[in-house]
Amino acid sequence: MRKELIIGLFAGLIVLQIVLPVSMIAKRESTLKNGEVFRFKTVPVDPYDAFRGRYVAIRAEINKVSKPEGVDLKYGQKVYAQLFVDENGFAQVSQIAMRRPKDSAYLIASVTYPAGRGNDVGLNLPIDRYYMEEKAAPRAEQVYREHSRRGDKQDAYVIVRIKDGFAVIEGLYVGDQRIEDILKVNIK
Amino acid sequence: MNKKTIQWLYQELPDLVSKGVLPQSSADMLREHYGDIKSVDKKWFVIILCSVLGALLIGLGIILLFGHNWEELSRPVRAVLSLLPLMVGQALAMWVVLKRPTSQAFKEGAATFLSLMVGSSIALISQTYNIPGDTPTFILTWMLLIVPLAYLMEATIPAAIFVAGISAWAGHFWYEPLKAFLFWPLLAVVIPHFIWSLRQEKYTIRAAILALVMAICVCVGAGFTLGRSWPGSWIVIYSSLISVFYLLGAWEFKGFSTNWQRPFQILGGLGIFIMMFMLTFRFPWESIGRRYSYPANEISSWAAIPDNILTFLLVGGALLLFFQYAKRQDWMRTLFGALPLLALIGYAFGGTSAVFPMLLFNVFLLFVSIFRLMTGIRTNNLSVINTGMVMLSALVLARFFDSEINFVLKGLVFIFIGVGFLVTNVMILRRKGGAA
Repeated sequence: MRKELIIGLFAGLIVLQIVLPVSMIAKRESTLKNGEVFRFKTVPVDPYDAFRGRYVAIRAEINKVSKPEGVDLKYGQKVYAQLFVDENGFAQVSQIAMRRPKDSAYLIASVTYPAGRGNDVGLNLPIDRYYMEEKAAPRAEQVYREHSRRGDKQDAYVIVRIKDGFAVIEGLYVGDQRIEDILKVNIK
Repeated sequence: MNKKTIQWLYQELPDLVSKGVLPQSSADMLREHYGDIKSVDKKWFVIILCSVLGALLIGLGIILLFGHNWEELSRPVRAVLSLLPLMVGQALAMWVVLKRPTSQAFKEGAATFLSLMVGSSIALISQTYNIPGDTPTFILTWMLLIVPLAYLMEATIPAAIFVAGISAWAGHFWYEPLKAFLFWPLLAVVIPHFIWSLRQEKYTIRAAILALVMAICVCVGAGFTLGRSWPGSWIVIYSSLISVFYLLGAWEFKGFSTNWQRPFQILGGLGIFIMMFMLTFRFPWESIGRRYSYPANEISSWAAIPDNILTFLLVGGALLLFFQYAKRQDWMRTLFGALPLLALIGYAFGGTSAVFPMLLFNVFLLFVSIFRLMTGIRTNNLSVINTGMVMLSALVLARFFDSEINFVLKGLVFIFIGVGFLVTNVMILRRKGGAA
C-alpha cells in the first residue's frame, strides 16, 4: 500500500515537473504565432549569466511614462503599459493603466520607481535579454559599438510579439539587419 | 563505550593473551561483553558518493552543453531538447523507484540528477524564448518542484539543494520583509526529512551534509529576514542562533560518535568564539541605533510582526537551552551558551555607551578562555587546551594592538593578568607538592 502511494505521488510529481516547462513553451509559441508585432528601440550591454549562457542585455529605450492622476504606485507594482506606434514605426508607451485595457495594445510592466523627477513613473518592460550563442553575445555588442563609432549610429531594436499583454522577443536588429546576420558577415 | 576504544581493545587482546597478561577465557569474555563493533560500511559510502558525484557532474555538463545555445538548431528543436534531459532524469528516477526502491545509492544519484535537470530545463526554455530575467521566481519554482524528491526518494542532496535555493531566493526580497520571511516556513518543509536522516543507522554522512548546509543557510537566511526593525539587533540574534546551534548540536544523538558528524556543534562553537571576539570591539555596539537605509514605512508596520515573533522565540530558545545546560552542570557548554544572555545585556546598554558592553565581553572572553585552558589541563585534553590558548591569544593580541586604550592602562592590565597567571601557577604547584 505504502509503495503504491509513493509511486502514485511520484507520478504526480513527474507530471507537474513536465507540465510546467511544456506550458512555458506553449504560451510563448502561441504568442509568437498569433501576437501583434511591435518594434522597440533598445540599448544593448553584455553581462554574464553563468547558468543560462550568454545573452545581450537589452533595455527598452522607453523606460518612463507620466504618472496617471490620483493613483498611488509602489515599487514593483504590476501595471498595464498602453502602446502606440510612433511616426518612425517604433512602439511607444502612451500611458499606464491599472486595469487591463480593452481597446488598445498593451504590455504588462512593473514600476521601478514610483515617483521620479517631475511626474514620471519608472517602468520596467519585460524585454531585458536576448540570448545568443556563447561567443556571439560579446561580439554582438562589439558590432553595435563599432557602428556607433563610425558616426552613422544605427538604431538597435527588437521585434516583439505581444498577445494579451504578454511579450516574446522575436529578434534583435542593428540597423535593419538581424544581429546574427551581421555577425556572420563580420566573421567572413 | 566509544567505538574507537573498543577497537583498540580488540587490537590489544591477542597480544595480551600471548604475553600471558590475560587468560584466553577472559579475552573471550571481554569480546562477548562488548560485542561486535558495528563498522561503518565503507563500500556503501563510496558507492553512494560516486553515484551522487557522477550524477552532479553529468547534470552540470549537460547544462553547460546546452548553455552554449547552438544557433544552428531551430527554436522548436531547442525547445524539445530542453525537455529531453528532464525526461531522461524522470525516467531514470521512475525506474529506481519501481525497480531499485531499496538502493540508497541509486535513489540519491537519480534524485540529484533529476533535481538538476528540472532547473536546467526551465533555464533552457528561458534561453530559447528570451524570457525576462526573474531570478527569484525561477529559483522558487525549481525548488518547489524538487523538494518532494527528498521524501519520495528518501534523497538528501535535493533537500540540501532546496535549502541553499530558498536562502538565495530570500536574498532577493530585501525590500519586501514579509515575502523574505517565507524562508522559514519553506525551511520547515525539509525538517521532517532532516530528523528522519538523523535517525538512520546507515549512511550517516547524509545527516552531516544536510546539517552543514542547513547551518550555513540558516545563518544566511537569518541575515535576510530577522532583526529588520531594530538596528543592531543582529548582535542578539546571531548570538542566540549560534548558541542554539552549539547547544542543540552538543545534545547526545544516537550514532554520532565523531566530530564531523556534528556540524551544528562545530560551526556553533566556532561561531560563538568569533562572535565573542567581535563583541570585544567597538564597531558592533555602534551599529545599535544606526538607521537602516530601506523605506521607513516597512520597519514599523505590521510587516515586521513575524520577524519580531521569530526573533523573540529564537532568543527565548537560546536562553532556555542555556538554563538546561546550567541545570546539568555542564559548565563549559553553559559558559559558551551564556553568549546570548550577555549579548542581551550588552544590547540593552549599548545604545547609550559602547564602553560597558566592550568591557563586559573582554572580561567574558578572558574568563571563558582561561576556564577552557584550566579544564583542558585538568582533564588532560590537548585539543581543549589548544582551543583555549587560541582564544586567549586572540584576545591578548587584539587588545595589545588596540589603539583605543592608552598604553599605561593597557600595560597595567597586562601586568596584572600576567601576575595572576604566575600566582595561580605557584598555587597549583604548591598544592601538588603538598599532595605528593
